[in-house]
Amino acid sequence: MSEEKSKKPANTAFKQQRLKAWQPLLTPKTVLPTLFIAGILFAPLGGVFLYQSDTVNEIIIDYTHCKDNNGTAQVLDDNLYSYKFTKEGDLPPRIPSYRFTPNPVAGEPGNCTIRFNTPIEIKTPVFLYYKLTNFYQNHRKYVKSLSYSQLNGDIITAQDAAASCSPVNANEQGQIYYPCGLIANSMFNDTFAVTFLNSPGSQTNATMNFDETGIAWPADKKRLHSTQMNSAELAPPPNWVKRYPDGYTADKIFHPQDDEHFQVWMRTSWYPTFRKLYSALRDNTLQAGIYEVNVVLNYDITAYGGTKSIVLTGTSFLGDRNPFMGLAWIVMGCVCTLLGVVFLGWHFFKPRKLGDHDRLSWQQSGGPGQPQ
Amino acid sequence: MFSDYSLSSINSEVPFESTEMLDCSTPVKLNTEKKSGFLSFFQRPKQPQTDVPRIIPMLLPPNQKFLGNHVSTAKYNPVTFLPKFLYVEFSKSANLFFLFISGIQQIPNISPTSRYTTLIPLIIVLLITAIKEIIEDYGVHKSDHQLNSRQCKIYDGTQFIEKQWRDVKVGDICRVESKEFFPADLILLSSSEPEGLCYIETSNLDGEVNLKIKQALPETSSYLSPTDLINLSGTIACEQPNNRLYNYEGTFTLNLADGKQKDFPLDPSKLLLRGAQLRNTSWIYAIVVFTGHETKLMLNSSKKPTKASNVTRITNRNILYLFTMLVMMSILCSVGNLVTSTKAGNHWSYLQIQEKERAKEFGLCILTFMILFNSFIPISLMVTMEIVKFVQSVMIDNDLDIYYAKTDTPAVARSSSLIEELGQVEYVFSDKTGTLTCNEMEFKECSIAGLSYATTADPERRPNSDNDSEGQYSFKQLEQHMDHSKHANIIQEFMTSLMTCHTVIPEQVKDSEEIIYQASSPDEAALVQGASDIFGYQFYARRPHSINCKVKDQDVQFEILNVCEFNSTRKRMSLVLKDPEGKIKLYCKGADSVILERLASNDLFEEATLHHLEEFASEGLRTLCYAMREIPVQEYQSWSTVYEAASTTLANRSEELDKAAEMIEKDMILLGATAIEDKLQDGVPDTIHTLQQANIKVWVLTGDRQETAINIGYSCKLLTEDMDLFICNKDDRVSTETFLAQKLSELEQDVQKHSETPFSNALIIEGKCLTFALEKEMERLFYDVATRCKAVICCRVSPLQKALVVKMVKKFSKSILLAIGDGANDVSMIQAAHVGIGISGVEGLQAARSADFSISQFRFLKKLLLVHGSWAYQRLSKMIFYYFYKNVALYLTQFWSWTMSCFNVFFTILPPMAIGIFDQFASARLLDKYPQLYMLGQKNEFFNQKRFWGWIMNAVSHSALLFFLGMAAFRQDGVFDDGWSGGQWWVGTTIFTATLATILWKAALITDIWTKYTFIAIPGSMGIWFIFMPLVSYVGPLLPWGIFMEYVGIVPRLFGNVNYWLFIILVPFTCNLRDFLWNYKRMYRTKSYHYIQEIQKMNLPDYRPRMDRFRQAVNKVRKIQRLKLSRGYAFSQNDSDQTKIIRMYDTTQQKPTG
Repeated sequence: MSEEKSKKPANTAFKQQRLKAWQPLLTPKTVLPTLFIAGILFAPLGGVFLYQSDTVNEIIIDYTHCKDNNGTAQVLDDNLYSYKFTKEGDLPPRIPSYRFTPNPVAGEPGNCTIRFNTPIEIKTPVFLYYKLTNFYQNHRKYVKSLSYSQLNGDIITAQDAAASCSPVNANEQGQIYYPCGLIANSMFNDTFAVTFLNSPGSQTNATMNFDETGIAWPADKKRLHSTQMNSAELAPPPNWVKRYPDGYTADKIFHPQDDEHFQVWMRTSWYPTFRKLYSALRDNTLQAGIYEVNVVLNYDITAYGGTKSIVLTGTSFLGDRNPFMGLAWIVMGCVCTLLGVVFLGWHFFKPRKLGDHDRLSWQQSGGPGQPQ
Repeated sequence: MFSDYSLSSINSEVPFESTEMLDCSTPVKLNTEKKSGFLSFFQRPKQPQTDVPRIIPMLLPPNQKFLGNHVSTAKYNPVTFLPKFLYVEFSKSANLFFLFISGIQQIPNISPTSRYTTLIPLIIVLLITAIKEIIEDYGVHKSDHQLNSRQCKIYDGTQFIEKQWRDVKVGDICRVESKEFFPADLILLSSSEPEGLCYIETSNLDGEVNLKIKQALPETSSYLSPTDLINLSGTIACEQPNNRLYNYEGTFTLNLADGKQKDFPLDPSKLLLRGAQLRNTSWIYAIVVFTGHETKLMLNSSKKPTKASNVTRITNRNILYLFTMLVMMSILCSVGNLVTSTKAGNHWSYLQIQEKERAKEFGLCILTFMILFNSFIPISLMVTMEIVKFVQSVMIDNDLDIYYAKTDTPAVARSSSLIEELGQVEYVFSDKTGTLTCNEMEFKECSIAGLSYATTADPERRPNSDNDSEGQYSFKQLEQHMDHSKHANIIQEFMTSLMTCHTVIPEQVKDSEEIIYQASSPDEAALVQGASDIFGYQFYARRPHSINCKVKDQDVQFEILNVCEFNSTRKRMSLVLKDPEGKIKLYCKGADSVILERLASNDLFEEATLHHLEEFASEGLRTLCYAMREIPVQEYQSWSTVYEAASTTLANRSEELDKAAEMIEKDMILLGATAIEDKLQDGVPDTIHTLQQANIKVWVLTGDRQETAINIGYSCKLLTEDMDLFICNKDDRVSTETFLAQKLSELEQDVQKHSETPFSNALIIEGKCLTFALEKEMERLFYDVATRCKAVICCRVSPLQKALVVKMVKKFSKSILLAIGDGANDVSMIQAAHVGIGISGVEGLQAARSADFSISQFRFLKKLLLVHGSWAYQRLSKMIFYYFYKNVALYLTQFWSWTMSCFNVFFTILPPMAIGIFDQFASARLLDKYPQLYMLGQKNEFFNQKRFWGWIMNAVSHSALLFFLGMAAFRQDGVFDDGWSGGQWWVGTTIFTATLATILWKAALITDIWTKYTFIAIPGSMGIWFIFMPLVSYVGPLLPWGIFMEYVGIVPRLFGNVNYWLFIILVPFTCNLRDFLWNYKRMYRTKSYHYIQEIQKMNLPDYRPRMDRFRQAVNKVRKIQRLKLSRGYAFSQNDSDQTKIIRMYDTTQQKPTG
């Protein structure tokens, strides 16, 4: 070993930039098969998706203006409802109607009875959603306005609440709202009960057993815990006064882990029109016939300039009825096939020799840089 | 002769105007230049003082205050560093923008992102830059310090003591020894050589490597020891410091022994400049006149400028565009926000926005949106760019192909920020000596008595007989011819003339037989060396009136009778001597044209020799013709009196001497010719040819004379036989202008006539003409002519002119200019060009140090430009655009899911890095083989504004597709078969995944080659995301900061959901389908580089080598057919002074020790 270290660079593939490498080139040999394979795969798959989406029955009824009803059954305008059934049933579909029943107690919300029919049997499970429009759950201020640690049961200070929940953080007495924040405060609180009218073989109405549990993500349920704070330090949010008219006491306090509707609501939606699961019918099918949904109108959506609807729907493995996935795949499949055909034709009629020396621009006459 | 040259005459005559041709206009130029560093600083205070002479009393403290000899070329000092550095950094628009953004991020409750997301990267970027600057400047400080603490000997009144350079003061007398550099500008007092002569080398100043002679005043040249110096006293009055290298005027007032004072004029021949080196002279005494920054060298240098690459400039501009876009979007969004929220009125009571805050809210909203969108302008891009460029420069440092084993020097990329500039060069300005040539002359071939000889004879021209003028003999055969050939006497005479007719000084190396030949002309040294080494005709001692030689180990002495000096008009030199036999002979060497005119009629060898000369010239050799005549004693005696008379005339002495010489230089016999090779560096012709193929124009700027320069031009294939040479060597402004104007119109007519043929003209311009051509009014004309020529050679240029030529082209053209040189005289040019390359060769490291890149051989330029440059340019443009694309695409789609935005760096940093470091659009081999690919960079094919907007449109369309497809797919949000809703975070994450996949897919599409690192980077980034996601979801909530709460429990919902997978497969495919087919467009809108890529992929054999051979053959035929006037005469010799050398030197005598 010599003392003087040579400055000679190492002869490694990395340093000499001679790393083994793959050089993909888009030539007809690779591009045309890609297009055709994509086409052949995508279009049929899309067909399957579309078919699956179409197996879902869906009933949407807008009941925003039910509270303005005069107490007699009112048949809905076309734009207020939508029926999507997979096939024509034995019964003709009936245009839904609703009727408002004011609450005898002054100041208490009235009831809305929505009546619709399903011409065919809707297979289980059937999901009942409420659907809101023009409600910006995705607003930057709104989304951030909650305290995860409060919902986790931790003790939070007034400062914490102000930091994460402002402006709905504490009342004038200094009691922290529980749960605090804009999201919780604006929670949707209409309730729904579904009845089957004149079920066959029976003259009585049967209450359908729509289950209000299992509607939230299991994780949402798990992460929430009752608060460890003293109930005296806490107050229900302003809009929750009806639910807790006397504020919180040691035995009457909000338990977030038990309120799945709350959990559903807290999973904010990304789009101003959204539906949220209210309950699910899992043990019985929705037979063909007439149904009534009794809604307690606690929630005044008109104040927010939006609408509210109920949605009754089944699901496929792709979720609820949405032809997008199917259509998109079909379209992409077709586009790819079409492009494949175009380029195949192009290649067939106007082939080009690969790596042709003679077509290098400077090989042609008068190219720059070419000494004459 | 020494008339009273008073100071008043200096003042009244305005001495610096237009007497010296070479440099008179340059200082004017410089003043009009932008204030550059201390040049302007020192010129300002000088202005009022120009009329006042500088008075320097010897050995006494001066009345005037002068600058010390301390020199500082550093950019910063500890105090000025921070303000200067910050000022420079924040004058960059990108940095200013980031500062602004991080400023508004500090306002609480506005920022949707963390306060420090911009500030910390900004600080990191600045820190890296600062450290780089500090390291660089530290190096300068160190070398300054080294220079300042060099030792030199200063006279203290009794003896010479060692002092550091920094302590040298004006008025000091110093002693400089051989091979030492002068510590300041000095006036020569005396030297070890006779008559106060000394030799200096000034390559640091003007790049000329031949020795120059300086001579002291006869009155001072006798002070040869410290004791003598005690008696020396006087005053120097001279001009104020200025940057004119070739001017100096002053008066030396000497106190004579009798108490009287006498004035002696001082001129440049007595001035020794800082930067020059004492050679062949054991010591000198000299008095210091200018010190430190007032020396001519320092006044000629400029500070190292900060250079930014073209790509960086465009990037900065694009950042500005994006910034405008961002401001507009922020305002638009805020207005939208205001309008909708006003329209919604109370409807948004669930948001509880206070009515009265609207205005404030609006203002804050703009700022919020700005922060939100600020990631459009990626600060991480700056960091990534620095890293990528750094790695690329490491790659250059490590390239074996441009590593020079002989000197163990690898290439060094000093400023990595200019690396992509190497891919866009359009003009190369090259120095000659040391860059193109090795600065070694070699006696290669000769023609004697009509026969051609060479070191190694051309095998294709084997002679048929012993007397075949068509063939070529080897030097070995010459030895035989010398003994027994009918022209043996001619050969003898030829050898004798080689040995005697020159001005070389032999120097015996101590303790050895070896003799070193010192010459002011390297050609002569090579010839004498050749005669001695090859033929055994050794010249070993010079005396004032004779020279001693050994012919085949026999001592011979020649008496030198007369010398007729060489000068550029005569183009020849003659020597009249008396040989040992007592015959008087005239030996003459010079240009073929002047020698042939003076031959006796019917010369035997004229035709054959001429033929040989042409051959030599076509090989790029420098030729000289030799002739002789025996002079009858009577003729000599009569001529001798004429000559004596001429040499003593006072008026027009040199003309008289020329006339006298003319009388005797006639009826000569042609002996033959020599051919010297000015040895080119390896691979120079090939490199120049390749660069020209790559559409790079090569300009050679040299201090050499015109003939030499043209010669080198031919030998390095810069000039070819089919080129028309425009030689501009006029003496005055008007004729230069007419010449250029005429050539321009010719060129323009040429274009009109045959629009297809490319220009095959070359412009050769002399330094003197260049002075005029670079004047304001003529610049443009000169530029127009020069750029229309295929090659340009500027000869006899000063270092400043080199820089001015570069600056002139820079001024009129948007092209990227590269300057390459090896000496200190190239520094200004290297600094003026966009990219400066220094040859780290033998001539010191000044050029390499001030250059942006240094290589050790000119031929390495080829790989540096064609491969590294192209790659760097292509990689960086791809990377930068991709970076913009990815950020715009991400943020336009993702602004609602801002949590991710802070972390996008993790998932998307690798692909741009992989592209920036590993991508190769064509392999090194093919880039080298097809230099034409380089034109892509010159035309800025990959990094133009069109492409930028294309990429931005691409990003916008991708994000729009992602957004709207996402909307269509997840509008109802019912994606689970058990009825659950996904919610904001589910949808956000899904779209983010799809966006990421789109972006990575795009990266995959633009990647030309996939190394293992590319695989790690591109699919790997997707993998990182799939690891990161569960990590965040499961581990995030456990962390104490309460981050990532939104992602709790999301993983099983995502990965278990079929819609998620369908979406992230389909949507990126949809987005990239257009891009995929756009890439496939190569089949039908094929660009040249596409073919090359195919050639590379399919490993096609190419037929170009055969083509090359064919072309070579054609050239050879052409060469043979060619009957050009050029016969390759070139000789570098200073005018005058030769007699002095011959008459003064006595190499057999001991010199005074001083």
